[in-house]
Amino acid sequence: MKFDVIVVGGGHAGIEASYIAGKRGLRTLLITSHLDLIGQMSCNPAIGGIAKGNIVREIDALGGAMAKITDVAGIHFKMLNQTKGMAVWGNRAQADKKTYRTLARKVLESQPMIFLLQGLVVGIVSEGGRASAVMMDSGEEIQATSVVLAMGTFLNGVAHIGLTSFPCGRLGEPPSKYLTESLTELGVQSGRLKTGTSPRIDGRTVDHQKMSVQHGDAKPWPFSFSSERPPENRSVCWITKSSSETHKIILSNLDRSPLYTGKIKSRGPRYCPSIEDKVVRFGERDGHTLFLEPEGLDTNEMYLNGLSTSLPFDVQVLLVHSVPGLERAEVTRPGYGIEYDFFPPTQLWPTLESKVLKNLFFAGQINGTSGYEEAAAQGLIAGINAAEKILGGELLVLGRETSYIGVLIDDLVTKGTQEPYRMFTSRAEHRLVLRQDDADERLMPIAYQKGLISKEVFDARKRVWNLKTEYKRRLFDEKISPENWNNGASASSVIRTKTQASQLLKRPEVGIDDILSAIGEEIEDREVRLGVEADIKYSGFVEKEKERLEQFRRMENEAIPETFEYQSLQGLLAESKAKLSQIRPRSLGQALRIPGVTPADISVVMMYLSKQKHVSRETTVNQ
Amino acid sequence: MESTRTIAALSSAAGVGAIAVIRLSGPQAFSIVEKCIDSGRAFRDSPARHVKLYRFICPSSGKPVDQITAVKFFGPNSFTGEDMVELFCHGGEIVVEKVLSVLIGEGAYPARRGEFARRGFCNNKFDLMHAEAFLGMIESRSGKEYESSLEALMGTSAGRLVGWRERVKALLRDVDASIEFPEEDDVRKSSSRYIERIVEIRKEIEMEVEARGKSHIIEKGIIIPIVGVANAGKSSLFNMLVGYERSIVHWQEGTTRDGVGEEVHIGGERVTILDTAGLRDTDDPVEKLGIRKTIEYVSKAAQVIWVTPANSPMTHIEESLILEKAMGKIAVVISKKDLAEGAEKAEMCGEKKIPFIRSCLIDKGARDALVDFVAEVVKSRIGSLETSSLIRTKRHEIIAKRIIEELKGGEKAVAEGEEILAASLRRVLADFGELVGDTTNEDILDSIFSRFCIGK
Ligand SMILES: Cc1cc2nc3c(=O)[nH]c(=O)nc-3n(C[C@H](O)[C@H](O)[C@H](O)COP(=O)(O)OP(=O)(O)OC[C@H]3O[C@@H](n4cnc5c(N)ncnc54)[C@H](O)[C@@H]3O)c2cc1C
Ligand SMILES: Nc1nc2c(ncn2[C@@H]2O[C@H](COP(=O)(O)OP(=O)(O)OP(=O)(O)O)[C@@H](O)[C@H]2O)c(=O)[nH]1
Ligand SMILES: [Mg+2]
Repeated sequence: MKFDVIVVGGGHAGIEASYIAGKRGLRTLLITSHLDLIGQMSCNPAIGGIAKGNIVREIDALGGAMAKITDVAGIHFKMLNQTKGMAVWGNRAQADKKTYRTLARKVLESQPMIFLLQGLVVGIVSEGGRASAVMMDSGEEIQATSVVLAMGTFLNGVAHIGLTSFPCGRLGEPPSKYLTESLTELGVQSGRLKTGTSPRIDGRTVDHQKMSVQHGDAKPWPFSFSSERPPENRSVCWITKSSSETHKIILSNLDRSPLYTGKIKSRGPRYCPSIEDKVVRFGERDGHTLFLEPEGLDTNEMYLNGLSTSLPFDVQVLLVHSVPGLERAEVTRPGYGIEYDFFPPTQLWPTLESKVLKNLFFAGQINGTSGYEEAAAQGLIAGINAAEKILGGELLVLGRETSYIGVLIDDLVTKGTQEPYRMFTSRAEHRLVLRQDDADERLMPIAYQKGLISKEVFDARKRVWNLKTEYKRRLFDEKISPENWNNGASASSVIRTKTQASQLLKRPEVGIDDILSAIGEEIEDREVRLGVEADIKYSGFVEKEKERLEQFRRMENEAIPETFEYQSLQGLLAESKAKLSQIRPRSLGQALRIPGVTPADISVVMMYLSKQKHVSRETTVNQ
Repeated sequence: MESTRTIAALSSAAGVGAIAVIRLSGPQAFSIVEKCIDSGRAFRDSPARHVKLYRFICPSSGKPVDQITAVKFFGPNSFTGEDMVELFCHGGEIVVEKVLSVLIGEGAYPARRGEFARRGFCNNKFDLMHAEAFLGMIESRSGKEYESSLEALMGTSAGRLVGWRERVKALLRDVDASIEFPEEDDVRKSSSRYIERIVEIRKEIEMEVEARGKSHIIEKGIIIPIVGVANAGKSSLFNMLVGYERSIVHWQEGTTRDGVGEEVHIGGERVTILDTAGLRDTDDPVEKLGIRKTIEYVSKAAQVIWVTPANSPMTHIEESLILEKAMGKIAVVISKKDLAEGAEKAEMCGEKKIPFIRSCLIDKGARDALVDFVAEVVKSRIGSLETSSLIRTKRHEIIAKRIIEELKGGEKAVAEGEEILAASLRRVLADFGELVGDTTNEDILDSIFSRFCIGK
């Protein structure tokens, strides 16, 4: 048996990796422990959010599957931050977990070149410095040219509920053994991280009177740039708060918490702390907000977002009952903490290929990230590059100034991570140019050129871009006279002379609808209308950032050869040498981002580089 | 890497010397200097490595700045390997800064530490051993080291700088938290007072920059106008202080019609005393111009001497044009004490805590007491002028001013959106970073997580 690409793990990373490789016509095998659980959402039933929603859009622009699945599986859509500028909007959907799994599998099965296999991979076989096959628990060896690893939280996973702990990959599923050891033997280093999840509740036992309802948007936004029909809201969420009783229960049971007795030693995510952490670190405040989210349409089960905990089951029940509206609630599944192996991502190239073993790619939670979207994004890039390795094209590395995916991967491979890494918009230094509404314009040209999206999809989007350009030109050319404007305008937006429509639109208090009605124009498509508005409103600020952006690009374009030798450089501290030799940055820009490497170090490297360039130029001349 | 920029910097030691050397390097080195020389052609036509004398001017105003000599070096035959100009101006700090700011105004960038040497090396002007020797001397090893040396250099004042940076960071943290976690109550409560917080920081930095301006005043010597109504005895006092009959003294009102300045040493300080046109209603157009100037002096000077005769009551003009405008920086000479008591005026000064002396200005014997009085006034004034130990060089000043502008942009951005505000604050932090070290995005996130209870 031989495949072009083998993907290990049918989680969100594995789905994207196998999907894109299969789409490119490569014989692809997805091996996963349980075929019915492909696309399982291990934690909360939501896709997207601030920054994460943007990643989902980028995945779609690059030909991935997540956005399209979410548009159909979603049952509650809400664009967050709509009161703020469009650069920081983020779409979020509550998904029906079962539909999500069904669709994920269907998407894979719709590709003729993708094959599925249930089983556990227990080892990686290498040959001449590159991965050549995977070893199955059945003893079988399956060969492949490229291998993508995406085992999530399963590697030597241990779950904790109170002081009880047991081996587990995800509650109810066995952990994955031997694979970490096989990789360590090959020279890959591993570490350990922790994450946790909340208890689930029987929705029939909830008293909604004591909660407030959260509806989706009146007109939901799709995630995909080519969704066939608009997404629909089919359910609601509920909001409540923990009480002072909740906090008392926690404080009096800390001696039974694996987190506070020192039983769990690995680092968990700070932005997704357990309720124990919140109460201990931040005190009561006036209660901590909790969200009740539907797990699906066919079930009453609700996810209790905000109450992530690894306290014992009996304490969890007390906790739940202390929350207004949940006094009589039945717990269907306990919350738990889980510890698992990960592989510090500084061992990867920005292509997500291992520096230790060629043709071996790592993606998802095993790289120290957390979150479905982060996992999917890495899976996609790993899949694209695993395929490219075979097809012979240039491997894809996205820039920090073109995408959140670029920021994500660059952060991982340059800085590594001490805790499960999650994306935030503030991780991007060029946030204003990374809008969720223009991810297609940013990335589709690359995707199309690399054969990741079809001509039809690309052309359809091009028509939208052209439309936007046309309207923008229109607003640039059109002048609005005081007579047409001042009547009804707020005091601050009154004009004295004829004013360019686009200029007027740049004022904070003016919206596109005001402008359109003043010039007697209509843009029916909401996406186009708001896109035009955002482009114009941001243009001045983007211009301001331009110098910074160009400086950034210049540094990114100063390439450092892969074989560059740091050890012999004079004027570098031993520590800096060690860091540079480990990361082996591809550009001066990346080198500058390595923690602990100073601008002075960089100028030394720069000098040697230009020396080298000069020498090689001279030798060519001499030859 | 950034060799498309033309850079400029003082290349001789900082401080006062007979001559200072300013270097420019880069593609526009020649054209920038050419613009700043009033016989630009002569410079353009001068061959390499020829020294010539020029008048250095400010191109926008046409005003002369200094007399200089300049030499051109054509790349690659220069220290940096690029087109270079070495420009010799007079070695005073003020001259140097003026010349530099004119060059920067014309498009040169302030060079970073070691940038000339770096360019030289990149262009193969000297070998590596050589370059490393430069480097070790010029470049600090790390942001931390730089920060600590800055600290040492500046003493306690650096604490203020760090304080500003921390406050901008805290502000950015609150803005970013509000962007990242819109559904968290804890965060929502903190996202307020943005404008006040920015204005507070900006004002403090502005004061520091202003203080630097004041230290210039002191270096140049402060200017003290003598003002008052016509015939009060201003010219008499002026002559007394400068020690000879510099101004015409006459019983006619309106004798002095233009400001007359004279530099003197009083109380160990260098001071320029200005005789001015007396304030009165007049139809004489020339005198009117003189009076307008006097009013300007009153508003601009750091110290004013007001002469008022003892034998006439205070006039409305004195009240509104002098007393009110110069409150806090005024000293009073009550003249003609031989003709009247002047008790009312003395009482008023006492009440308002204004230093004053009663004197007869036609009595030569009064001179010593008057000089002592003015010396005391000058000393306490100079003592009260705050100077900046924080913003000491042109480079600091340029960055500080950039920060001030950016903060003003930030104030506007509060209405434009939190993400715009955040971008603006990030640029401020980058500027602070250029001064003292770096702030990373991680710092902000760390600060968010330590401050807010976040996470569902
Ligand atoms: C308890 C828990 C709490 C979490 N909490 C959060 C949270 O608070 N916030 C957040 O953003 N995210 C959280 N998540 C993380 C989120 O579920 C993951 O980030 C995301 O699912 C990772 O995707 P992945 O593709 O990397 O791995 P997963 O979705 O975990 O998928 C891994 C897949 O690999 C398969 N597999 C594993 N080992 C093998 C093997 N040897 N051979 C074959 N197949 C194998 C598994 O069966 C599984 O299908 C949590 C996850 C868990 C389990
Ligand atoms: N008795 C007496 N006469 C004085 C005194 N001071 C000045 N005078 C006389 O007052 C007249 C005006 O003096 P100036 O010094 O010219 O007055 P001024 O303020 O310069 O007047 P203008 O230039 O016209 O504004 C002259 O005749 C002086 O001699 C004084 O203290 N006592
Ligand atoms: Mg006079």
